[in-house]
Amino acid sequence: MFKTICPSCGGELVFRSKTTVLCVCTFCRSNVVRHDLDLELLGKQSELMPDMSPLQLGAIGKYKNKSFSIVGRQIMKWDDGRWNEWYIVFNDGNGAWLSEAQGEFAVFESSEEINIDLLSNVEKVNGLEIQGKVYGVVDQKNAICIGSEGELPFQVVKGYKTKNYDLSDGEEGFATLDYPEDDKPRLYVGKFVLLRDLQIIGLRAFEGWKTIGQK
Amino acid sequence: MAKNKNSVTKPVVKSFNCPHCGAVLTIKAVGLSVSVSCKSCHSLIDVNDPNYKILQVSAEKRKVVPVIPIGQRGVLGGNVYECIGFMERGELPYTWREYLLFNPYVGFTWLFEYDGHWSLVKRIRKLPQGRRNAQYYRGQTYKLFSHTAAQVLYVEGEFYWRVKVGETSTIEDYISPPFILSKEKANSEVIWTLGRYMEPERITKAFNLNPLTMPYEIGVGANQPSPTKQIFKTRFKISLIFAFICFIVFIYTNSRNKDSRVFSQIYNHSKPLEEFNTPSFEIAEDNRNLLIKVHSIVHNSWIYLDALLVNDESGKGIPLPIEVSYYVGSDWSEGSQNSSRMEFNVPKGTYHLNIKPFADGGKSEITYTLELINDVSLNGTFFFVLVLLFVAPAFSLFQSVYFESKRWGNSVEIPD
Repeated sequence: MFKTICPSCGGELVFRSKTTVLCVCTFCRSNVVRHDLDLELLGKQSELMPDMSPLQLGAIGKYKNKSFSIVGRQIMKWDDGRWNEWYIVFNDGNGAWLSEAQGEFAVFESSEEINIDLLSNVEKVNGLEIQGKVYGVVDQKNAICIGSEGELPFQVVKGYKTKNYDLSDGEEGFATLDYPEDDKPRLYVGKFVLLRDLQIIGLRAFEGWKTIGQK
Repeated sequence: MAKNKNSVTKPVVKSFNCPHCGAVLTIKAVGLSVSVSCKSCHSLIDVNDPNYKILQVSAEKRKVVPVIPIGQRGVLGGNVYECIGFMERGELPYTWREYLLFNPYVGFTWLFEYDGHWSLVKRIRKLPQGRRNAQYYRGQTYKLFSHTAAQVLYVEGEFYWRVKVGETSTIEDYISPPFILSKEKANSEVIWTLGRYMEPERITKAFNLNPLTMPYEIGVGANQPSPTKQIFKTRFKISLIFAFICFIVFIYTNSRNKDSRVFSQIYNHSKPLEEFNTPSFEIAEDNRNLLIKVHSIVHNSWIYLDALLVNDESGKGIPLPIEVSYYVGSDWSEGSQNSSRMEFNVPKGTYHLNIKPFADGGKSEITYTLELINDVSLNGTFFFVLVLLFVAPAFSLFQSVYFESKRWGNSVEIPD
């Protein structure tokens, strides 16, 4: 953990994960980018549009018997809606993504850069072989980041545009190919999960709704 | 950080004015809902758009009243759900109604209603494996039930995609009651859902509805579990157990039957026929049955033996009259050249038969074989009991088949 003060407002700024590159200040919503010990300001964000997501920063949970905490989020928007990408950090310091779309959740544990040739091949054959399994493209859309909060492993700020491919192996396996406008494409491989299986403590509590696990 | 961690916040609600008529609209699944129908002018509005773009003005093909009102909450499968959307789909006059249910922690679930039959439906991510006119999913084979085109006919409330009245999709339904697997194809997107049949009473109770407003249950639902199928299975099992017991008893008693021939003789009498006594014979088994068999080559004629089984010691007689008659024409026949009758509970002892033979006028002499068998094993009884045993399961099997025929009578397919 790395504690410092926001270069913009002087409020406390915490980098919980060693993988964190960008941190949005809780107080003044400045984008603070970390270069080792140097901090760089990258403008400010407006308040996030509220939503009914049951997740929030600071909540902790379990995946494959490993504890994680939710440290950041980016909100993505496309023509037909929006979704949340929650950045989670495991106890061992490794980061992963917990994506939340249309009330469904998926955890992407591995992510790797891929080269452009592979991407064009995915477009050509409408699929990809990942870890010996054939994944077919099930959806493809252009998305734009409309806001972020907390810690993120990239310099992703509002307005960041990306082309997004969803791939499925026909089982619970799920993969996303993310091709940002000005970056290299990345492949995220993961699985659909049920929120209750993540045993999350610190879910958002809404008046009139029982959180899961609550009797 | 970690703001609001343990505090309870008010649910996020988004309110805005309908860009068409100005009515105040509220969104419950904020961040998830993409389109909403204006409750006063029925325009469809893009919630995702900062200016609330109108997707469709006054989109209404016909007015439908949802049984579960928008905003109503109910408990299904242990989760509280709020009904946030309603739509009617189908191809007139065949329509069904879909209720979109929301819980911020569980996500979305659907309730489908067709002809008063309800199913709780959820999207599935694991894809079924296709077989010929069937699908295989999680150890279960689902049979193709219908293949139809459906159009959105009426919309109320909010949805997590851009809904449009008039939009069509093709739907394939596969059933393995109480489950129904559906494949919905709209444009290039394919969505699989799994539904489970729900008794209408459960819906009424879950959402606290007035039973009188519930749609009538018509016929058999596509994935309605057959009540008689289970009865048939139970009855069949019970019958099978009893049949087995009978079989054991039958084998046991059969092994004890002696089937001993106590008397056998060929007789030839010339007319005039006279009364006579057979030699004495021994009936060894006490109170067992006795079978009397007569065989005679009669042809368009008859013989009649007025026989009396007489106990040598007591002189008491048991009448055993028996007739053999056989008539035949060019395309018919009646009777047989063999005849038999059985007497039960004959005490053991030494007996003889006293016989007064009679015959019709034709021939001058008659010939016949007379046989007496003691303690005969009765196969017929066993088979008779067997038939009786399976009457009940056969009846429920018939009911079950009838139920299935009613179900499959609703099966539809669009020609390829």
